[in-house]
Amino acid sequence: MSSKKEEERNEKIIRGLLKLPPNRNCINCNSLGPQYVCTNFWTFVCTICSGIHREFTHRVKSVSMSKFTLKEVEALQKGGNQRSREIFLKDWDLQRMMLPDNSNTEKIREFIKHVYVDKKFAERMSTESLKNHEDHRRSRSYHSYSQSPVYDNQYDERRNGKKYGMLTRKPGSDRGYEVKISSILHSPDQLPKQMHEAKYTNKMAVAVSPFKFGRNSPNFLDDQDAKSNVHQDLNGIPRMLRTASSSSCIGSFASESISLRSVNSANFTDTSTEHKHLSRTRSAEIPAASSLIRSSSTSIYLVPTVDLFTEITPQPSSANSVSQKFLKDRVSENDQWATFDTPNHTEYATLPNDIHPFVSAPWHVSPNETSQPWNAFGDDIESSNHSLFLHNAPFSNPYAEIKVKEDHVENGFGTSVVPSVSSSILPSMVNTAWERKSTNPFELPYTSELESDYEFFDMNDLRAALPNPYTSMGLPGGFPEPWIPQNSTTPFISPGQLPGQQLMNIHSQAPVASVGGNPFA
Amino acid sequence: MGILFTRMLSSIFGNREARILVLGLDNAGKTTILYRLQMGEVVSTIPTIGFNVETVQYNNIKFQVWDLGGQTSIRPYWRCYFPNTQAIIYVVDSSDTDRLVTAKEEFHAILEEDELKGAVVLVYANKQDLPGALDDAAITEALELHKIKSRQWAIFKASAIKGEGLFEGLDWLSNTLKSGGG
Repeated sequence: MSSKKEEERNEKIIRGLLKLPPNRNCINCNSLGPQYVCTNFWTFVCTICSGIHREFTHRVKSVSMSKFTLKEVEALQKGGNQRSREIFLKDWDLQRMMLPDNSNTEKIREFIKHVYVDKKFAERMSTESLKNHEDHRRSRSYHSYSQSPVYDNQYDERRNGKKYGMLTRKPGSDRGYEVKISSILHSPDQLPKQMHEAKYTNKMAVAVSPFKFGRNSPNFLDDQDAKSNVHQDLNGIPRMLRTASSSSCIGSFASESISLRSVNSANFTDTSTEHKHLSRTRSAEIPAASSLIRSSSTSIYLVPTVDLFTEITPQPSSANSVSQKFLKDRVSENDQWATFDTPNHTEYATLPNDIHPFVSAPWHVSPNETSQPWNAFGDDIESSNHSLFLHNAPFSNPYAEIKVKEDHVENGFGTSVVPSVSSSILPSMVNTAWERKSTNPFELPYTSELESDYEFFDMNDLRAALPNPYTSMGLPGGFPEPWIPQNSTTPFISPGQLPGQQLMNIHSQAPVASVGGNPFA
Repeated sequence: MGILFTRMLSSIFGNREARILVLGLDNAGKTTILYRLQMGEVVSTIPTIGFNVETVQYNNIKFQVWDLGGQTSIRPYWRCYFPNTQAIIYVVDSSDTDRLVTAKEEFHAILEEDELKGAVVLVYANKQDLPGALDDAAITEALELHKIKSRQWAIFKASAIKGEGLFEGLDWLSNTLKSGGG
């Protein structure tokens, strides 16, 4: 019977959709493996949320216990959690507002009411930001169908990073790329990267400079990056777990919170130029393409790339030009935003500063890099860099709420303790660090250490310039005792080898410990 | 012997037991009705996979009420519960007009079942509290209840949320069963 076949086919498609990162978690409570579809909004929800949806007379269907018509399947393909998030959770700041836990049905009930019935988060915007937002949307809207604007995929991919391999299915040929991206995102340096990625993704959409496109054939790079990061991913699983929560905060970066975006864009203007410059020279010099550049900067081009592919699937080249154009446009707008958007959001005002080091650091560092080794181990190096950035973050991140802070701290395990210390310590540290590093067969000690060295300076410079109320608080805490002694003997890498101690001090969360197993850490 | 005695006693005092199936499309309100009947309150439910079973004592009848999941793929399993069933409570979401046809089809498919030949049928036109809910007459029409021959049936407007109409239906059911309808 053809209808039977069709049913099977439909089920297959839905199963496939369920594997898409945004759909792997209940849109309401974020619990893993939603088994129901709310057919009012075409979202995937967990059992509990499905029950509560019904209370609002929303219709739900079990993926496994119901049959779906072709129409429903199509609607689901066009919808899904990603799309709904854009619509109903546009203003939901994942960073500041936690999704309800599904053990608390009352909270979920409230959430569903606010989000889907009252649509509180679908429209609420200041006029100014609305305008920007609209612009932003429109600019990206030409990839309308694809289920996911890039950033959210990233966010979800991040969250589910280790599974990215599964995503080879077709509904949306764009998937392939997103998957690769995810792998990149998941490399150990995740959080920081996420941070600045999030920034970039946002910026991307808002204001991107052309170099990202012009420079590389997206395919090639993506692939390579994906590969280079795979092992990292495997080893980095614990981190991924850890970043699960952090991803949500990044999600919020990515999510529609205008304030952030504007902040980011403010940042972007300076960093991007820098970045552009450096990365260009680098890539020119080292055609093999250091994976540092790539993985750090890939996030940047990747984003547009994905956009392009969802959009203009076949021809990267033409896509490039298109996007370049639009990106250029964006850039100019970007400046404006920087000027008048930021001040409005005082809460985030500190953000640019905090981020600055993250963003800029890799570029500063880059000149030092020696060519070959980077290919293979760029990630590792990066990871150290990032953890450095990271560490700054917790201290100086007033905007970050608990979640974020946790993540930062976690991410900032071992290594990151260092960076928060003043630069005076650094020289000695660097030396010892090199030795230490060499114990790790996979590590390219010198460059990386050098790099981190540079970074410290960078950061400190920057931070010094920052009006940061948290620094004073943060430094004394992290710095004095564990610091000096540990540095002299077992500097940076120690966290890798002595996973427990330092980490525990900082944060006693499970995933941290597992870092020890990661030779790349 | 003991069983016989119990039977005699219960027939004297009017105590009876009845096995009842609550059927209907998914999201019709079967589970909510079951717990409304049993506990007298609205519980928060999740879509039923499998069944819920509760006993409800009403009018000297001990109803053993089986609430079976109504989603498409598990409807075929309803038949596993058909034997020895005295009554069917068929629940319809009166506001879900789109699926009334499906509801009708499922309903008549059930009535075809041999094992349910002797069962009386109580229909709840549920969700009367919702705007746009069809009334009992309209549901009667939609389900083509008039086509039912050689079987006792009744339809009641109900709102499980508000608790309206449920016990009226149960009244009818207990009376019918007592009078030998089951």
